[in-house]
Amino acid sequence: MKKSRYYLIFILAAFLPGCDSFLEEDIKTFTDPQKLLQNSAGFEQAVNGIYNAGNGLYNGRNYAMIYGMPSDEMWIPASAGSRWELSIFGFNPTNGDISTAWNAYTTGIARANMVLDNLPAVGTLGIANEKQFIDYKTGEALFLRAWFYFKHMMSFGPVPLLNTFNEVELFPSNSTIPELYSQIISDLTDAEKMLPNWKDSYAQPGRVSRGSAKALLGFVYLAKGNSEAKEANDYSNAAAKLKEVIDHEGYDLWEKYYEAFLPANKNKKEDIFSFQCEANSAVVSSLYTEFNLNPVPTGAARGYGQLPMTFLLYHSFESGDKRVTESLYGTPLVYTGAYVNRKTGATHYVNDRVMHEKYLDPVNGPISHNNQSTNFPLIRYADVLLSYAEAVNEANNGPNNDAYSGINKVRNRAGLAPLSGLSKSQFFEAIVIERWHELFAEGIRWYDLKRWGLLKRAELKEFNPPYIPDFEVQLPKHSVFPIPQPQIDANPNLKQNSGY
Amino acid sequence: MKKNEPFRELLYPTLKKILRIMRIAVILLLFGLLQTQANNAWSQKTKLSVNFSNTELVNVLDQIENDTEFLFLYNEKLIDPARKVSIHVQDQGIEEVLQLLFADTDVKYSILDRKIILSPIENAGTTRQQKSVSGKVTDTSGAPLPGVSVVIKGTSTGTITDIDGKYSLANLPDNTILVFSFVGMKMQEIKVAGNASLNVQLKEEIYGIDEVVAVGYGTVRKSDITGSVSSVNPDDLLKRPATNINQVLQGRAAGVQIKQTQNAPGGDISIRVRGINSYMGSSTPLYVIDGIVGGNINTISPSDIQSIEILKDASSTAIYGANGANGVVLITTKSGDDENLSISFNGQYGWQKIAKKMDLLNAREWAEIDNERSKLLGLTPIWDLNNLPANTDWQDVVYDVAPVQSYDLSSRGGKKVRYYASLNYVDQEGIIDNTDYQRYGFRINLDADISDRIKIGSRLGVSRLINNRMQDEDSYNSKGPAAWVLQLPPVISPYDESGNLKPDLELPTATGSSTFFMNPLHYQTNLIDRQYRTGISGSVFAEIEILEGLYFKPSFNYGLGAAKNGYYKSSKMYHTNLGYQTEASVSSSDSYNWHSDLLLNYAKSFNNGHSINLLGGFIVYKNYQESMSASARDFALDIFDYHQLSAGAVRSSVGSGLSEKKELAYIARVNYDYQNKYLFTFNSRYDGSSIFGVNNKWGFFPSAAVAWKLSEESFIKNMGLFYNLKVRASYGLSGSEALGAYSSHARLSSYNAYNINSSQVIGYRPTSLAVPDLRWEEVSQLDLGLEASFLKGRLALVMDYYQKETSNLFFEVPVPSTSGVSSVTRNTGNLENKGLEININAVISDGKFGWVSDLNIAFQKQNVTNIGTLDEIIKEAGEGGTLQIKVGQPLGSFYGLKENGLWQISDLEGLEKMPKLYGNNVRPGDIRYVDQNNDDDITDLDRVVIGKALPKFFGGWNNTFSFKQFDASVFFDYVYGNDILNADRYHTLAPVRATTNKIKEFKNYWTPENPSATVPRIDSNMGYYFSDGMWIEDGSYLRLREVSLGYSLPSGVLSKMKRIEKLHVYISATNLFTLTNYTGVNPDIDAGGGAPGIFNVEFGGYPTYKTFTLGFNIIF
Repeated sequence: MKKSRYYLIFILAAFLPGCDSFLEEDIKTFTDPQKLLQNSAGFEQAVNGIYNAGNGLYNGRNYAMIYGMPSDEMWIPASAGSRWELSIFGFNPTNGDISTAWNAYTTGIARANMVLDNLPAVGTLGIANEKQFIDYKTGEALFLRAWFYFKHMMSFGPVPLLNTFNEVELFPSNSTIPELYSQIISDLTDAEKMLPNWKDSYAQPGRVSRGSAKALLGFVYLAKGNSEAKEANDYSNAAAKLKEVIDHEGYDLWEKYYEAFLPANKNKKEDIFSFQCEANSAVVSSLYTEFNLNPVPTGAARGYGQLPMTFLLYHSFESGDKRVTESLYGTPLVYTGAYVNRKTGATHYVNDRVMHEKYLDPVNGPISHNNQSTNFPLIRYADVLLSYAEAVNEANNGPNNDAYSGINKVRNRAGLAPLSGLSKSQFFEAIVIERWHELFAEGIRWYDLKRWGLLKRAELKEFNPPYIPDFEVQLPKHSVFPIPQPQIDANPNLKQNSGY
Repeated sequence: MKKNEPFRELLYPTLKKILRIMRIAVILLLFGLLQTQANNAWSQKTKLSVNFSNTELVNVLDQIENDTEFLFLYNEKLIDPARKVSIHVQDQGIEEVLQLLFADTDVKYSILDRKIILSPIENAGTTRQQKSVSGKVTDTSGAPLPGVSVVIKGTSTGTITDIDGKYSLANLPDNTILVFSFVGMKMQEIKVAGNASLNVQLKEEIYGIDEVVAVGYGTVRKSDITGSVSSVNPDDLLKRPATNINQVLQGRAAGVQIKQTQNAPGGDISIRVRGINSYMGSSTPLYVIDGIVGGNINTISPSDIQSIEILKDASSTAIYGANGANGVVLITTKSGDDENLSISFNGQYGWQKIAKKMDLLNAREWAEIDNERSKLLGLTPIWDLNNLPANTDWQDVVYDVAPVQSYDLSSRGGKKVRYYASLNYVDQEGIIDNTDYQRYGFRINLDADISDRIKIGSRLGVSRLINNRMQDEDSYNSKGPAAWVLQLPPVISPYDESGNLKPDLELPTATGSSTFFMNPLHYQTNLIDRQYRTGISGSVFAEIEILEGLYFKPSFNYGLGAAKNGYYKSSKMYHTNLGYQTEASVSSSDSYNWHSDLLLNYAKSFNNGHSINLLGGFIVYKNYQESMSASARDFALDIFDYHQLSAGAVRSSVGSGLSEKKELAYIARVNYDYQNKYLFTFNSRYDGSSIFGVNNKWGFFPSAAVAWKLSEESFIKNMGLFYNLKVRASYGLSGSEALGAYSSHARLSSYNAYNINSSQVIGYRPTSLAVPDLRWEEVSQLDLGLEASFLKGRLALVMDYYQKETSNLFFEVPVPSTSGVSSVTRNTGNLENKGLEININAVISDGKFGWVSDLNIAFQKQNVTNIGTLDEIIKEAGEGGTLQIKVGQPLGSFYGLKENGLWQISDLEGLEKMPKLYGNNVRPGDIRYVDQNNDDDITDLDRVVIGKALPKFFGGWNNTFSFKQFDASVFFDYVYGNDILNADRYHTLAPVRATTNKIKEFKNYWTPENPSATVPRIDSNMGYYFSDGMWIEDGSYLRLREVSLGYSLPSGVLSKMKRIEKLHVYISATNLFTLTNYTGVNPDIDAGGGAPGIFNVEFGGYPTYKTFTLGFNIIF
C-alpha cells in the first residue's frame, strides 16, 4: 500500500465539509416577522397572535377578578391569597394576578407593534381586494394596541410608550398620561377608518369592527374627561362617538339579560368586542367554573367559587330586577363554606356566598367545567348605552332625553321603571348604581370607580359578612396598581408607582 | 426417521460443536447436574451394522449418527476423535458397538435415549505414567507467597503453598495444567509439560499495573494515567437484574453520584460526576459507548459491558471539548479477545417488594380525628366509629410483589477474526399494577486482523425497550397513584358492593357536601401510558499502521433511534364528579446521529528514556431529530386504545418538530514520558457547534497534566514502604453546550392562538429574542491527585482534590415584558465546585479466605459565585418548594419560613400586638414561624434558606468475601448532609388538607390539653406553605444496598461435567435496610421534574423496593 494515500485521505476528509458553513443552522420550526408578513395568511396569523395576548387574562377568572375584587362588587375569603389581597386593597408589587395583567397588556402591545412595523405595502401580497385586506388587518392591530394601551395606562398609570418592535428598546422609561392618551386616540381614529362594520360581508365574526373602535374611542374620551389629560371637549367627543355607535353600527340589546352571554349569541347584536373562547379549542373558557361553586347536587359541573358577588351588591338590586332573577337563574345560589372570622379568629360555617351563572355555557358547562365556549365580554352594547348616558350628562351638565334614553333602555330590559327628573348628580349616582348592576363581573368596576374617583366605595363591603376585616382604600395610591416587581427588577428605567 | 441432512451440511463444523456443547448443557441441567445411566428401550431395539478399518473414530461416529437417530456428545479434548479404530459388526445393538469401539480406552459412554455421551473414565490416570512437580510461588518483587492455591486443572486435587511459597504435587497425569490462584493476584494456568520444577510469579490484580484503560480517543496503561479516572468492571456487580447500568454503579466510584429520579420500571437515573456544574443546562455526563459519542445508556445491556471508565478531571475530559464539562463515561463492550471459544449464559429471577410502607392512620383513627375536627368547627360529626364503611390499607391495595427477570446468552472467540455476540432480555414488572419494563437486545462485535498492519472491526448493538408507566410518572408534582395511596382516606373501599372497582371514590364530609377522589386501582387499570424505544448503534473502524508507530484510525459511527409514546384514557375513566373524557395521544420521534472520526496516532520510545505518544484528529458530527405528536378526545368505543385517533370526535392537537445539531472538531494530544517516572499530557480540542450564537461558533479547550511516579525513584524504592506512589496535577477547560438547538435565535412561533368565527385559528408570537453572543458554559478545573499502595498493593489509596469553576453559566435573565418575551437566556453566572475524593482498597486473605474491601467517599462543596446583575433568584416551584439562588450559596437551596414549634396559649395571652401570619392573627396551636425581621408579621420577608439539597459527602463501601467455593458481597452506600423537601409529608401531615389520610404522627395534634404536640391544631385552614421548614428533612442515609451469597461448583465436580468451565449460583438482595432519620419513602430521591435548580423533592414518587434475586452463570 502506498503510504501517501492515507495522508491524502486524511487531509481531504479534514477539509471536505468546509468550515463555518457546515455550522449554520437551517431553521424550519420558526420564522421572523419580515418573512411572515410578506404573505397574506401570515399577516393575518400575526394579527391573531395579538388577540392571543389576552389569553390567560380573559379566558378565565383573572380579568373579572383583578377589576372586581378591589371594588364593591366582589370579595373572596383569605385562603385565596393574591385574590384576597386584591379584595382588601392589600396588593403589593409581588401580587401575581396584577403581574398577569401587566404581562398581557405589554405582550399585546409588543405583538401589535411587530405587525405595525412590518406592514406589507399594497400590491405586494397579490390577492384580491388587497387594500381592503391590509386595512382590515392594520385596523385590527391598531385597535388592539389602543385597547391594550388604554387598559395598561388605566391600571398602571404612566407606563412606557413604545410603538416599534423591530428596533426594540429593551429598557423603556415611563411615559406620561397625556402622551398615552394621544397615542391611543390616534390609533383608534385610524382604526375606525380601516375597519369594517361588523355586518359587512368581509367582516369576520370575532374580529374587531368599526363599532369596536368607535365604542372604545368613546370610552377613552369619557375616561380622559376626568383625568390629568382632560380637555374641555372630552365629554362631548365621547358622547358624539358613542352616539355614532348607537345610531350607525346596528347594535341592540337582547331581549333578556342572560342572552347577552350565551355562546350561541356571540359576536351578534350586543357583542361589540369579546374574547373568543370555544370549547375543545386551544382557547377555551373556564369562567363559569370560577363563579359557580362545587357541587350543585345534581351533578352539574364543578366549580371553584372564586368570584362571589358581595352581599352589598346582592342586596342593592331593586326587587324584581330581572338581572337577578334571570342571570342568577331564579334562585340565588347561596352556598355554605367555612371561613375564619379575621377579628375573632373563629371559624364559621355560614351561608355567605352569592354565586351566579352569568357565564354558564348551557351546552358544554354540564360536561366539563373548564372547557366552555362562553366569550368574555369586553365591549358590550349595554356599556355603550350607559357610557353614552354618562357622557351626555357630563357634556350637557345634566341629563337630557338622550341621557335618559341610554340608561332607561338598559333598565327597561331589567324590568325596571324608567328614570326621569334627576339632577346631574342624581343622574350620575344612578349611573354608578346601574353600571354596578349591569356590568357585574365584566372587569369594569375598579376601572369605573377609579375614573370617577370613587374607589372608597369598596370600603362599604366591610359591613357585609363579618369576616371582611377593616381595610382602607388609600388615594391616590390605590387608583393605580403597583408595577409588578419583576418588571421593576428587570428594567432599571421603570419607576414604581408612588406608595408601593 | 431421516436425519436433517441439509441442515447439517450447511453448518460449519464449529457450529456443530457449539450445538453439541449446548446440548450437553441442556441435558445436564435437565437431569439435575447428574450423569444418569439411562436405560432405554429405544437403544435396545435399534440394530446397526458398522464396517471400518483403521478409520478415525470421528468418522465412525458420524456414520453411526447418519445411519441412526443416535447423536454423540463429547469433548474433543478429552475424547481423542482422531484415534484410528477398526470395527466390523452386523445387526448389533448400540451397546455392543460402543463396547467394541472403546474397549481398552479410558472412555466410557452413557446412553440417554438417543443421545450418547462419551466421557473419560475418572481413574483413567492409573494406567498412565505418574509424574510429580514442585516449585515456589513468588510475587513480582520475588517475595514468596504463602497460601497460594495450586490445583490440577479440571480436578479438585491440589495443594497450598507453604510459608516459603513452596508446593509440591505428585501423581500428575499427562498434560497436566496447574492453576495457581491467590486472592488479589491474577490467576495463572501453567502446563507442567514434563518439568519437575515449576517456579511461578503471580502478578498483582487489584491495581493491575499493566491494565489498559480507555481514555478519550485511545487507551493508556493505568499506571500512566495523569488525570483522574475511575474504572469499574461491571461483571462482578451484576448480581441482580439491572435495567440500566447506572443502577449498579451507585456508590461504586468516588465522586460519582447516582440517584434514581424515578423508581418506576424504566425510570430515569441521574448521574453526576463531581457535582452539578450548571443551573439551566444538564449536569449529565457525556456517554461514549465504544467510541460512539452521545449513546443512550438505557439501550445497552449491562452484561455486554467489559469496562466503564469515568473521566473526571479536565485533563481527561478536555478532549471532548464543549461536551466534556460534566465528565465523560466511557463504556467499552466486550469483544472476542480469547482464542478459545466460550459461551456464557446468565439467568436471574427476582422478586420485588416495597421497601418501606408509610405508617398511616387506620380507618378508626382517621374517623376519630375527623369527628373531632367537625366538633371544633361546630359541625355534627358524621362517623360512627363502630360502623365504619371500610378500613382500607391503600398501600396494601396498590402495591404488589412483582417479579423481575433477566437472561443473557453470549459467545466470544476467534483468533484472526474475533467476535462477541450476545442476546439479552430483561423483564421487570412494577409493584404498581400495569407498570413494567422490558428490554430485548442483541450485539455483535467483530474484529479482524487483515494483515500485520491493518485491523478492522465493527460494533453493532440493537435494542428495543417497552415501558408501561405509572400515570404522571414524569411529573415531579405528580398526582399519580403513588401520591394518592398516602392520601386516600381509609374509610373508603376501592370496591363497590358487587366487588367491582369504583371509578371514583366519594367521601361524605360534615359540611354536607362530598369530596371525590380518583381510585388508583381503577385509574391504573384503565389507563395506557406506554413508551417504546428502539435503538441501533454501530460503528466500523480501522487501524492502519502507516509507518512504524504511526497509525491512521478512521471510524464511522452511527446511531439510529426511534421513540414512540402512546397514551389512552378509556371511557371507564369517565365519571361525572371528576369529569374525565376519553383521551388518546401518540407522539413519536426518530433521530439519527453520526460522527466520523479521523485519527492519526504516533508513538515512539527512544533509547534514552524518552517516549512520546501523539494524537491528532478531525471529527464531524451531526445529530438530527424529527418528531410528531397528535391527540384526540371523545372516543365512542374503547377498542382502539391509541391506535385509531381518527375515531376521536375531537382532534385536540397535532404537532411536529425538527432539531438539528452539527459539530466540527479538531483534537490533539501529546503524551510524554521520561524514564517512566515523569509523565506529561497535553490535550486540546477546537470545537465548532451550530447551536451557538453567530459571534461564538468556535471554542478552544486545552488541558495539561503532569504526573510523577515517585515509586520509580530509588529513594522511595529504598524505603520499602510504597508499592506504588504517584502524584499528579492537571488543569484545563471543558465546556457544556447546556442548551438545545436554535437557542440563540429570535423566534416567531406558530400555535393555536385564537378563535375566529368560532373556529380555531393559527397565530404567531415572538418566543425568544436573538442572543448572538450565546456560547457554551465553560468549566475550568484543577485536580491534584495522589495514588499510593502499600503491602505489595494489598492496601491502596487514591485521593483527588479538585476545584472547578463554571463560567458563562446560563441564567434566564428577566427582561421587561414590553419586549414581547419575559426572559432571555444569557451566559451571565459563575459557579464553583470543590471536592475531595478518597478511595481505599484493601485485600485481606490467607489463601482460603479472601476479603476485598473498597471504600470511597467524596466531599463536595458548591457555591454560586456570580449571578450577573441580579441580587438573587427566587424560584417558586409549587410543590417543588421555593428556591433561592444567591451568591455564596449552593444551587438547590430551599427557601422559606423557618418553623419553631407551635404557638401556645401562654405565648399569646396579654399581648398588645397580636403576631400575624401574612396579615392574619395567629392562634394557639398554629405554627410559630421565626419572625426574622421582628415586625410581628410573618411574610415573604421572613424567608431564609431552610435546607440544602446538595450533600456534604457521599460514597459507598463494598466488601467481597471468598471462602473455598463460596463468595459473598456486602455493599453499603451512604449520603450525608443533604436536605429533602418531603411534599408527601405536607400532604399527610398538614391539617389544612382536612379530608386526606395522615401519618400516625398526626394523632399528636395540638389542643389546649396537649400543648406539647408537634402537629398544629386540626381546625386550622391557614398557614401551610411548601416553602416551610416543617417539610424539609435531613436526607442523610446509610443503606445496605446489596448483599449476595454465591457458590461456584468446585472444579472437581465441573470436570465431570466436561465442557462446563464455570457454574456460579447466587442469591442476592437489595435495599434490605436503610438507616435514616428521613420520614419519607425514598431518601435517595432526585425528583425535580427536570426543572432547573430543583433537586431532592419527594412527592408521590414510585416507591423504592427490595429485590430478592436468584441467579446463575454458566460458562462453557
